[in-house]
Formats: sequence, structure tokens, C-alpha cells
Amino acid sequence: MNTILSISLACLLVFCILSIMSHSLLKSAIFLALASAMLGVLMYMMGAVWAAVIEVSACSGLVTVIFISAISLSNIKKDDIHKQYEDKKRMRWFPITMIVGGILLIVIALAKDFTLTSALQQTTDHFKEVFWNTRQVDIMGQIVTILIGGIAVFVLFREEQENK
Amino acid sequence: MFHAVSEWLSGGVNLLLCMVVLPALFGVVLWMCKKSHFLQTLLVLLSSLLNTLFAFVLYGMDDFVFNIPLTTFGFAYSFRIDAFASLFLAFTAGMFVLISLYTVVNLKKQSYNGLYLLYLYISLGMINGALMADHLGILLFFWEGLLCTLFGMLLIGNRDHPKAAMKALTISGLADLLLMLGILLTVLSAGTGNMSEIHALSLSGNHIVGFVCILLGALAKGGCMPFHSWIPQAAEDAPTAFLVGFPGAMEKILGIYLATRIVTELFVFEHGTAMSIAMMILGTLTIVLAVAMALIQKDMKKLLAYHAISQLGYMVLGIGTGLPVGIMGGLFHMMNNVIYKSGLFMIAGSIEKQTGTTDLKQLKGLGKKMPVTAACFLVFTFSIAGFPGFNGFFSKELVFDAALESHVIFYIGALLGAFMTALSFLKMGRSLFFGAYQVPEGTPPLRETKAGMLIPMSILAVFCMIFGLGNTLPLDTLLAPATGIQASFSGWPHSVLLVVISLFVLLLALLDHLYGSKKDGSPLHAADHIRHAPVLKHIYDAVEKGWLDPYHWLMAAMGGFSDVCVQVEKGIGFVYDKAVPRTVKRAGLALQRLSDGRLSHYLYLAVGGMLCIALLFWLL
Amino acid sequence: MNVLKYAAETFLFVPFAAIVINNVFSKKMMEKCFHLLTGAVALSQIFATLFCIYSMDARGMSRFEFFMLEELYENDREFFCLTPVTLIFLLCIGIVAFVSVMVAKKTIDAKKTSYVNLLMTLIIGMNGMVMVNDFFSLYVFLDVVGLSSFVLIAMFRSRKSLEGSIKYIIISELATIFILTGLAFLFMQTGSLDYMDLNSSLLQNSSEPQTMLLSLSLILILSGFFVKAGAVPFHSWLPDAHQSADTSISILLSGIVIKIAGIYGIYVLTDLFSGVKAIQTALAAIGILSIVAGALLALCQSHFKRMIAYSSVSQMGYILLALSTGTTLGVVAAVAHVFSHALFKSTLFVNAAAIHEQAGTLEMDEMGGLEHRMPVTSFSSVIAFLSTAGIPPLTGFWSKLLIILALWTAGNPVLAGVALCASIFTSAYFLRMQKKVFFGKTPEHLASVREVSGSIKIIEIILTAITTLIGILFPLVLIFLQSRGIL
Repeated sequence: MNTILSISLACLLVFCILSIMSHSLLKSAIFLALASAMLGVLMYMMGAVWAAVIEVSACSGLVTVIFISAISLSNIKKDDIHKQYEDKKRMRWFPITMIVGGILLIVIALAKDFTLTSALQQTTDHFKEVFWNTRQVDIMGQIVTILIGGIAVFVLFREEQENK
Repeated sequence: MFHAVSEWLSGGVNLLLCMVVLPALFGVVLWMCKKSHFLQTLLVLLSSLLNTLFAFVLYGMDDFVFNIPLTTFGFAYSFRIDAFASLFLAFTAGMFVLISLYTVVNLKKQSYNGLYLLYLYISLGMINGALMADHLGILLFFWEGLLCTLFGMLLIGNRDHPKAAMKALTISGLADLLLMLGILLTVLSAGTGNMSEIHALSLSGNHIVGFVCILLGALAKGGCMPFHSWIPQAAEDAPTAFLVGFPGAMEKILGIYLATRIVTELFVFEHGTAMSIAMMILGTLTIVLAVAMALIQKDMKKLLAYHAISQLGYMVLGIGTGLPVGIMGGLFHMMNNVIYKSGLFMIAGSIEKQTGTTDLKQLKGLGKKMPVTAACFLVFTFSIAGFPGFNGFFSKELVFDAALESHVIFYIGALLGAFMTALSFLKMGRSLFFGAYQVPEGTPPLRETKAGMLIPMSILAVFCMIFGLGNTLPLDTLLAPATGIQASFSGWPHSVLLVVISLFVLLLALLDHLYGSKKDGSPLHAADHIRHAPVLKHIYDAVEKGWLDPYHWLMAAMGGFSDVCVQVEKGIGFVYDKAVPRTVKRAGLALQRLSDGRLSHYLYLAVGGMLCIALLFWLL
Repeated sequence: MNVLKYAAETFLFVPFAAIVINNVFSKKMMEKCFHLLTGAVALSQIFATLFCIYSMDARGMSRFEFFMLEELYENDREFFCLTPVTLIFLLCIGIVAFVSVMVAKKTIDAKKTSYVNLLMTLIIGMNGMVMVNDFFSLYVFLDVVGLSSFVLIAMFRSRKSLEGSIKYIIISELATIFILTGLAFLFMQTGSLDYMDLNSSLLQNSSEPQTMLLSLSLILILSGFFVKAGAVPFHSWLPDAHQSADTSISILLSGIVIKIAGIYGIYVLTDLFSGVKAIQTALAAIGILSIVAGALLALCQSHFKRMIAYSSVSQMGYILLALSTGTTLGVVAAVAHVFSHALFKSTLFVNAAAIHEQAGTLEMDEMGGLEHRMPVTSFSSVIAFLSTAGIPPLTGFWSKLLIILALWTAGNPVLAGVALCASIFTSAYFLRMQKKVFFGKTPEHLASVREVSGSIKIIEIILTAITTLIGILFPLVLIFLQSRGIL
């Protein structure tokens, strides 16, 4: 069990870093999707079945959104991306603020002591049970979301090619 | 066959429905056969006479209430016929025969005649419906429907500059909104919307607001101040046939119908209360202000339009007294006014048809070429000026009587109105039909009006005299049973003093007119040397400038007064035309600046909105 | 029961099947007859809805729950549910989709776009949203709706449409984040997002931090749906997106998407948390703000479609106002207005398409006098305008009347008065539009304009007829409502 945990943790880390560092938007988006999948696995392994399911469901939507908007926003060539990276180096303080903010949030959460009443009771459910028997509808929705993502890539990429 | 028809006719409900639906159907048929003038005329006569027949059959029936169970929340399509409503129905139907005949002949060569007739007939259906409605909501429905057709008719004649239509829609829309609010309040406080079930609500609390709103809505339909300003505008833009039908006749009928209904039946409206005094003030103001505006008009249609407003003032004044004599006088005056005012508009329309203009400066001495028209005009003028023996005289005397009983101020206001009315009609009549012949250049040789337009006019003129000398017919036979007022007001006026004063006012107007026309007539140069004498010169100068001239004083005072009226008019116009649209436009542009296309601003807005909602939650 | 279940299942399976058909068969053939396929889907939706309404009424059911796929595991919970409100929404989806197809037949080039696929996913998303029984599933389908509409706007090559769609997606993702966060907070409280579980009295027996958490989640979800509905001040994306899309897409967006994605969500929220006074206040405040600001903004626009888009903002305000009452009559009024708005707004957008096809422009300052050149378009736009302004006996009048009645009976006469007075603004901006576009002189460059032909003309006539007919027959609906004790 621990091996799977550590492997997926490592994968998560790798995918996250790859997703940030990648110069290609397409790759970046794919790595992000993989990272969120790894996060889902982690959550499931640690007992948070519901969180895992929702993570997988919601993230496929979010990733598709980010993916599409990134593609349609960018008419930038690869060389220009480097330049932009140089420009963005000035924003080094940004991650630090994010981290500080995160810590603050955790502190607040601890101080307020939100109790989770009933969510914890269902941790014994099987993945299949949760995923199929109670969240069947969401899966249909997810399939359609991913389908739209595919169609979008098809439509918008073709436009790219014709422009060239 | 005959039996079956008469049996069917005796079922009042069938008639009711027919009177609402048939006009619209006839309108569509008329619209479709717009190519053939002959067919149209025939159909118009046929349908309007059929409508009259229905109305008369209804008039002969007893009172009844009928509910068509088609809808909900105490909102059934309920109709009722009582003596009052059926009298109005019959009167409308009778007038409609003449008006529609005149309209179809007058609009013969216009491209829009088919569409206009369609609107006219739908309007008839709406008016019939409004007169027959028992539930106030149903009445409102027909009332609003009339607004739509009105808008259409105003628009047709002048599509490129739909100013009058816009103005009418704005003002009448506002008035109808008031009516709607009033009806809502009344229905709410009375617990029912059926007029047959509402009896004498006391004027207090909620009721008073409802009463005022309904009254204003009703009077605004008739064109009462300050809801009048679209009528003169329509006189410029709209087809004259519209003026004949609506400001001249139908709107007065409808407005006065509702006003009388609420004053006499639905609410307790007593003589001497604040509400009564307010209504009388409104009436007197309408009389005086509108007639002062009429006095300075140089266009026949516009002059008549202002008179149409002013005459409504008498009805409001009469009904506003709350006395039997006043109500009787107001209703009688409404009938008379509808007769002679639509007749006058008809004359304006036929003159416009023959000469192409109604500008009094360009038209002179038409009397010899159009003798019948001139004779009709004379009758109508005598009626509207209140010359003894004609119908206007009798109804005005009744209103004067009621006004004097309330307060002498109202009487003086009404007399002032009569004085100026006589003055302006003397001016118009003399310059239009007497004196040297003059028409605009390029007019074909002038001929008498076509028979199709002449006949309605002549019939109206005859009715002016019948209702005058034989006033027992309208007063005792028609109005008394309809209103349930027992006392008889027919015959010659009871108070000799009032008659003498009225005659004196008429005489004063005549003298004033003669003096004024002589003053502005051909100058005499014989006394020039005296005029230039050393001392007298200055006095003459002063006299010539009008400093010592009572006529000029009067005219200057009138002019000043008229100027004030013009300013008031302009002020009202400014609010409607400029101030409101400008404020709205500015507000819109200010909001526009918020959505400037920048994504970051959009995001700020959305987050700001969320914070506002959070604040709301916090506060509650 | 089985027939009803099959009819209900078509709402999701038919669009799925259409996607499959569209991609399996030869591309050329599908491009040629794409409108037949999509039209058939829309019609099947309309007829299935009518059938469901009929059979549910015949059996006296007020709700019908069903599974979509076979039951694989014993569970007491059904995934989907049909109620009368849901069915009216489904009917609106069918009608608007049909209108869009009729317009798309003329305006859209099937070779360059994926209109069929995206329309089908959009329909699946919207149908799913209104049928599901669980808040999280609703969120998932909301995402489907948002994504489909985003790609629908963006699929044309113009820079403007890309700009509009980017604005749309960014703002609407903000909404998604709000909703998701709100749902997470709600989930923390209850452990389930099923409507049944949420329906139980959440507010009772809750400690101080839990109430705060609940309020926080309600604020977030409400704001999210406001963004989706385009209510002021969350509206700014709406005109940009609606203006930049092709007209057949604008019909979908303005006619139905904002209502399903925004109004339906708010309806669910008010239904579940009917005891929370603050929600009602917020709805009333935002509703009034939307009515007035939307109308004022519409008055200043010079672009035909942009003006209609702002008018949508204003009309959404009316619906929010109706929902703010929290009574059954309020819900009925809101649904009735959703229906009549779907009708007249589609008509207006179809008019926009007709004018764009024939005159080549939508700038109102460049137009004029089209009344004689395009009589059908002109007439249908007048009817739609009268319906919007609430003139009897058109549908718009009845729904507005219901809204005002609902406000009145809920004890909000002031709001009813404001709603009534704001109708003047509606008339004002539409009169301005009529005057600029259809009346007045015809400019020279429009002298050769002719009436639009084919499917657009047909759909104009159909929509006008429906608006008038339903308006005339509306008293029957009132009788029905009264027999059910709602009025």
C-alpha cells in the first residue's frame, strides 16, 4: 500500500512540475490532467473516496476548460514563449504569496475547527459502489465533457492549420 | 326564418358577443376589399347599421349581467347591460354610422384606407366591449386594446414623422397605467371587480387613491388637461378622419362614460367635498386654458382640437359638481359636443379635401362656393357658442346652473370660456366663409363637398337643432331613465338671469369682434393732419400703439395669458419630449461605461456583486 | 409506466444517438442534411415533452423518477426526475433548439463548423441539468452546457467571436468556481448533495460556525448562478458573447442557455432553501437592478443583437423577481415567463438573422424603412415587441401579469409597482428599435433589400402564430392552474 502511495506521490510531484515547466500548452494541459488523476488516486488510497471521485469528475471539466482556453488564446510562436518566461521572472513573489495564503487558510481552518458531520461515515464504500452506483450520472456528464473537449480541439486546431 | 332571427336576437348574450367580434371581422373584410370603393361604402353602411340595430335591440332590453366562464381568479369575462350602458352603446352606434360613412368617403384615394378602416372597426369592437364590460379588468383590457388601434391609426397617416403617435402612446400609456393602478386598488379594496357588485364605496383611505387614479385615467382618455397635449399634435399629423372619429367623438364618449360611472355608482361622490372641488377646478382649468390656446391658433384643425379639449372641461365641471343638474348637464353636453364637434371636424376635413389646406390665412370667403357646408358650419358654430335655441345652449345653461350653485368662481371661469369660444368661432367663421374669395394658388375650381361627406354633416346639423328645441327627447326620454335622476331639466332654462347673462356674454363677444375687425380693417387716411398735430401726436401715438385701447388691453392680457399657457404647454412638452428621455439616456450611458469590454473590469464587477450579496446575507 | 420511462429516456439518448449518426455516416452526406438530423432531434424533444406532460397529467403524477441505465445495484435512489416545471423547461429547450436549427440551415456552413455535435452536447447538458436529482450532477451538466456554448461561440473564425467566447468562458468559469466551492461547503455540512437530503431542515439544530458555513455556501452558489443567468452586475459577459456569436447560436444562448444554466439553478436553490429569507431578498434586489439597468443599457445600444441581449438581462430580472416571492404562484409565473421569453426572444433573434442575411448589417443607425421591404420580418418583430412589453393578449402579457400577481399576493406591492413601471422602459427601447429599423426612410444602400425566404421566413411565421395563439388560449392555462389550487 505504501509503495503505491509513494509512487503516486512522486508521480504527482513530477507531473505538476512538468505541467508548469512545459513549453507546449498541449503538453502542459495533459500533464495537469495526469497530476489531478494522481491526486485522485492518492485521495482514494488514503480513504477519502468521495473526495477522489469528485476530484476526478470536476478536474476533467476544469482541465478541459483550461486546455481549450489556452489553445484559443495563444497565437504565440514557440520562440516567443521563452521571452515571455524571461519577462515573467519578475513575478517571483507570486508563488510565495500563494504559499503564505495557503498556510493562512489552514490556520484559519484549524482555528475554526469545522466538523465534518456525515462525510466521514461512508469511507468504507467501495470505489465501484461510489463511482458507478451513486455517481453514474456524473460519469455520463464527464463523458460528454471530454467529448466536447475533443470536438473543440478538432474545430479550433483545424482553424490553426487553415490559417497556416 | 324571421322568427329564428328575432329569437336569436332576443338572446342578449349573442348580441353582446356580436358587437365585440363582428366589427373586427367586418374590419378584416373591409381591409381585403380595399380595391373597390363602392363595395367598401356598401359594407360600411351595412355593418354600421347592423351594429346600430344590435345596439337598439339591446337598448330595448332589461338589465342583465352575463359571465362567460373563460378565465379565473374572479376575472370572468363578465358583461352587463343596464340602461346607462345601453344608452351609450346606442349613441356610439348611431355616431359610428355617420363617422364611418364620412371616413370611407374621405379616405377614398388614400393608400392606407383599407388598413385604417380595419383599425377603425377593431376600435369599435373595443369601445363596445369597454361599454359593456362589467368587470373592471375586462374594461381595462378593451381600454388598452383601444390604445393599440389608436396608435396604429395615428401612425398610418404619417409614418415618417410618427411624433403624434409617439406622444399619444406615451401620454395615453401613462394615463392607462394610472387607470390600471386605480382599478387594481379598487378591486382590492372592494373585494370584487364587478361593477354591478360595487356600490358606493366611501371616499377614504385606499378608495380615494383608487378613485383618483381611475378618474384621471378616464378623463385622460377624453383629453383632459394635463393629458391633452397629443391631441393638437395629432391635429397636425393624423388624418382628419381620425380627428372626426376619436378626439371628436369616441374618446369623449368613453371617457365620460367611465367618469360618470365611478362618480355616480361606484363611489360616494358628494357635492361640496374636496374631491368634487378638485374635479371642478380641473374642469374649469381645462375650459379656460384650452380655449385661450384655441384663440391664437391660425389653423382650423388645431383650433378645433383645442376646442375639443376645452369642451371636455364643461363636462368635467358639470359632473364634478356632483349635483343632479350638473351630471345631467355634463352628460347632455357630452352628447351635444360629440354631435357638433365631429361635425366641425368633418367640415375641416372636407375643406382640406377640396383646397388642400386648413390654414385660415390662405382660405377666405368659401361660403358662396360651398353653401351647404357653410350652413352646417353656422349651425355647429351656434351650437358650440351656446346660441339660444341650439343644443349647446341648453346643456351649457345646465352646467352654468350647477357651477353657480357650487361657487361663483367656477361660473365665471365657465363664462370666460364661453366668451372666448364665441370669439374664436366668430373669427374663424367670418374669415372662412365670408368676405372676398381666396384659396391657395393652384387649387382646382372649388366645388361643394361630395355627397358622401355632406350627408353625415347635414344629419348632425339637424340633430343639433332637434336636441336644442326638442330637448325633452335627450333629457327626459334618454338620459333621465339612464341616470335614474328624477327631476326634469328639459324645456327652456329655469333661471332667466342666467340666460340674460349668457346672452350678454355673447353680445360682448360680438361687439369685441366687430371692434377688433374694424380696428385691423382698412385704415382711413382722412384725419392725418390732426394726427400729426403737436400735442395730439403723442396721444395718438399712444393710442395707435394700443396703450389706451381696451381692446388691445384685453388682447394684450389675453396674449400674455396665452403666452403663459404656451409656456405651460412647452413645459409639459419639455418633460415628455426632452427631460425624461435625456435622464434615461444619461443613466444608460453611465451604466454603459461600466461594461467597457475589459475582462478585468467584468471580473471585478462579478466579485463585487458577490460581495454585495454577502453583505445582504450578513445584514439579514 | 414503461412508455413514460422510454419517453423520458429519449431526452438523453436521442442526442447521443444523433452524435453517433453524425460521425459514423459519410461526412458529405451529413453536411448536406445536418438540419434534418438536428431538426428531428429538436422535434422529438418537443413531442416527447408533450407526451410526458400528457401522460403524467392523465395519471395524476406530480413527479416521475427514473433510472437512465439499468439498475446495476440495489439502491433506493433514482437519478433523474421529471416534474411539471422540468417539463416546461424541456419544452423550451426543444422549441429554441428547433428555431436555432431553422436559422442555422441558412446561416451556418456545416463544413467549417461542428454545429451538429456541439448542439447535441448542449442539449444533453441542458436536459441533464434539469432532470438530475443531485446538486453535484447538476454542476457536472452545467459544465457541459458552459463548455458547449463556449465552443459554439468560438467555432467561427472571426477574431470577435474568439474574444467574446474567451470573455464568456473566463467569467463563467469564475461562476463554476463559485458554485463548486459553495457545493463543497454544502457537502461538508451534509455529506450528500442529493435534493432529498438537502431538503431536510438544514438550518435547525445547527451551531454557529455551521450556519456561517451554510450562508457562505449559499452566497457562493447564488452568485455563480447569477453570473450564469446574466443578472446585473454579473451580466457584463452576456452582451459581448451574444453579439459576437452567429445568430443561430445567439438564439440558443439568449433563448435558453442563460435560463437553464442560471434561472433553473436558482429555482432549485430557492426550492431547497425556501426558508432562507436572505435568498429572497437577494433575488428581489438583483431582479430589480437587472430590470432597470438592463433596460437602460438596452436604450443606449446601436447594435441590434446587443440591444436584444441587454433586453434579455432585463427580462431575466423579471424572472428573478418572480422567484423571489418563494410561493407556488411565483414559480408558476417564473416558468410562464421563461416560456414566453423563449418565444419572443427567439423571434427577435430570428428577425436579426433575417436582417443580417438580407441587409448585411445589424447596426441600427445604418438601417431604416425595412417595413415595406421585409413585411413578414417587420410584422413578427412587432408582435414579439408587443409580447415583450406585455400587451394583451400575447403570451408576454399573461406571464407578466402572473409575475405582478405573484408579487402582489406575496405582500410586495412596491415591487409589483416597480415591475409594472419598468415595462415603460421595455416599450421605449423596442419602439426605438422599431423606429430605427423598420420605419422612416430607406437608405440608398438598402433599396434592393428583399424579404428573407425559406426556413427563416417559415420560422418567423410559426413563432408569431404560437405567440399569438398561446396568448389567446392562456385563460385555459389559468383555469388549469386554478383547478390545481395554485391561483
